[in-house]
Amino acid sequence: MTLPPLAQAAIAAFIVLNAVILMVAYVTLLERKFAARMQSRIGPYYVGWPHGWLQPIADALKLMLKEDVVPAAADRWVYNLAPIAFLVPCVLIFATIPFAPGLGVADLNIGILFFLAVSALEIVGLFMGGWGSNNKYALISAMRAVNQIISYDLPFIFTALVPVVLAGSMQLSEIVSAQTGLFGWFVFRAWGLGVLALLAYLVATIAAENRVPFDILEAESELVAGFRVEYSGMKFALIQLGEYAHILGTSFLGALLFLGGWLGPGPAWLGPIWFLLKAIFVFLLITWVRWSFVRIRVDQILAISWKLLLPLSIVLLMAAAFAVAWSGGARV
Amino acid sequence: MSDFMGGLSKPPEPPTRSEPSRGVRGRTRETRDGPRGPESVTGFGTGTQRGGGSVAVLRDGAKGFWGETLQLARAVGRTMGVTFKNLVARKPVTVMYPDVRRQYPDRFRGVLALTYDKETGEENCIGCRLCEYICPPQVIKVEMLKAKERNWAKHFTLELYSCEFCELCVQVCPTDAIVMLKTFELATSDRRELLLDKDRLHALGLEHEHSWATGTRLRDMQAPPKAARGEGHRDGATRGEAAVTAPAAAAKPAGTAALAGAGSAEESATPAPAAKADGPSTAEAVKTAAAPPAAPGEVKTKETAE
Ligand code: SF4
Ligand code: SF4
Repeated sequence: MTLPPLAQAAIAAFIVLNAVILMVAYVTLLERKFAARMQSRIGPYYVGWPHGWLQPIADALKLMLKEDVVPAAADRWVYNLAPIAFLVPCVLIFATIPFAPGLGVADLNIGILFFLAVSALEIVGLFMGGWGSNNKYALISAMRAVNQIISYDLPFIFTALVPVVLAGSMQLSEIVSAQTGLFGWFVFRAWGLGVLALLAYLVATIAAENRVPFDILEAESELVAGFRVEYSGMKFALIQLGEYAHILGTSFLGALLFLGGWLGPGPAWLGPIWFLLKAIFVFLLITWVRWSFVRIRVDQILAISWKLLLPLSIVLLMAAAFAVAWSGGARV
Repeated sequence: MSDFMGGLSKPPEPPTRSEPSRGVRGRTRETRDGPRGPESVTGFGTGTQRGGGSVAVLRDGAKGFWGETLQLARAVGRTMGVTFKNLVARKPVTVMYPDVRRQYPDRFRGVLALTYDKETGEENCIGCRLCEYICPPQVIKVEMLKAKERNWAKHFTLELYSCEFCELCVQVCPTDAIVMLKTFELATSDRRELLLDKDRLHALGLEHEHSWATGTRLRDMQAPPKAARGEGHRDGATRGEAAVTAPAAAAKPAGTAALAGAGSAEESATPAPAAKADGPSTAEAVKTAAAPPAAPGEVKTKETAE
């Protein structure tokens, strides 16, 4: 008996969604442990002794039990919808990611386009949150975020297009299969263009996710907790979940575009594990940056985007195109 | 080209300086002198802000866009190197607190407690109320119980929730009755639990390790070297200390004199000559007047030497 395609997709979506939520929970633990070691601390330890294996669960429970406070002057509809509007695009990006050949919700032929378009939608929820809270800090923070995400989505997209040009396809599984062979991953290919593109991709993702050192939308001294300052309880948890899901999603995309996705030594069933390890590697790179730097000023953030990263990514894209054209469609 | 990246980050123009300088050394000099010139606004705006406040990332010789980009890359590498070294090469310094405890320093200022005499097992406190007088937030209340041999504290309460842990009460206590403990665990769900009475304070003293400081030790430590005494020149810190003690002693001369026990005969003699002397030594004299009851047994050798 075969299920109708819609039911199949629903089941796949259910599995992926829960896997993503679980992964997000444990990725936060990973980040906390990692950050702690960078600061010569230990990090979560006692909840789920040793090394705090149950900490994410405890955190989730705590957030669920917390009182949900809605500011009296909030725009209730916008305020209540914002966490959902924020979370949905962040989780939706996982829909196109193939975790192994044929293992994914939908392997669209314009997968990367879908990914880039949907991940940029996050900003709508974010601004709704900032606006609906009716709080000046939240609003200023949301405006800063819009400002910054608009600036960094361009270099993000341009760098993500470098592998597309090299692979000659927008389908994510095709991009992976173009990276087979020893040193076939796009980081190693195209005479160093790949490494540069990966670095630019990392910087652009960090900025597009508003992470340190580009985290101007959350500033304890001036904006308190930024656009989520008025959220508590489960709504706060949803926003947090969305944020980490987005980071994880871009880590997966980075692993897929530059590090050869599920390709790796060993039998085929090891593929998803390789993919996961690579994604975690990218995530840890982002975390490493986060815990190494202090934040930079708003104007510096914009200057870096428009004056350095954007030209660099355009040049990289053009160079990749030239390389492909020069070799007449052969591997570069 | 040097402000290729700095267009947006360039601050409003401060008064122009004639010679721009870059680099760590140049920067500190500039910072001291005042706002920096517009020439020194580096490309990325990395680490430079108006009026200094800079992170010393760029070195001498970082010229132009590429020079600055190179410097920036190097700085990024160095920063991430530090965190990487922490990650892989350094052990966490965390002490797993409730399970493992640090060795607290000897001068630790923690919870207060009352002590018993080691030999006789009697309470040390004689209810002299010096600690009550000295306490800045006035959290100690003592009531004296007069007796033949010696006096006792009838009631002794300490509102630990308002204590500022200044150790002054320890310092003035003539019988080393009040001490500080090497513990700071005060967390409680009821504020009233921190209103300590005499029994509780004695119990605490038996329960925890005492800090080094006692009244006698503190006063010995802060007394001037013998050669300097009587000549009237003392360093500021000691003078201030004596002045602090003075009002307490002056406020209750009768009490201290009465408590002095064996020393009471000399007691009346000692303050008299000192009262004629100038300021600092007056304070000194008052202080020593307060001191004798400290240990009725060991009559002040210092004083008799004088
Ligand atoms: S330590 Fe200071 S504040 Fe606390 S009881 Fe003693 S004199 Fe008062
Ligand atoms: S100063 Fe010492 S002896 Fe006097 S009342 Fe206070 S604790 Fe008791």
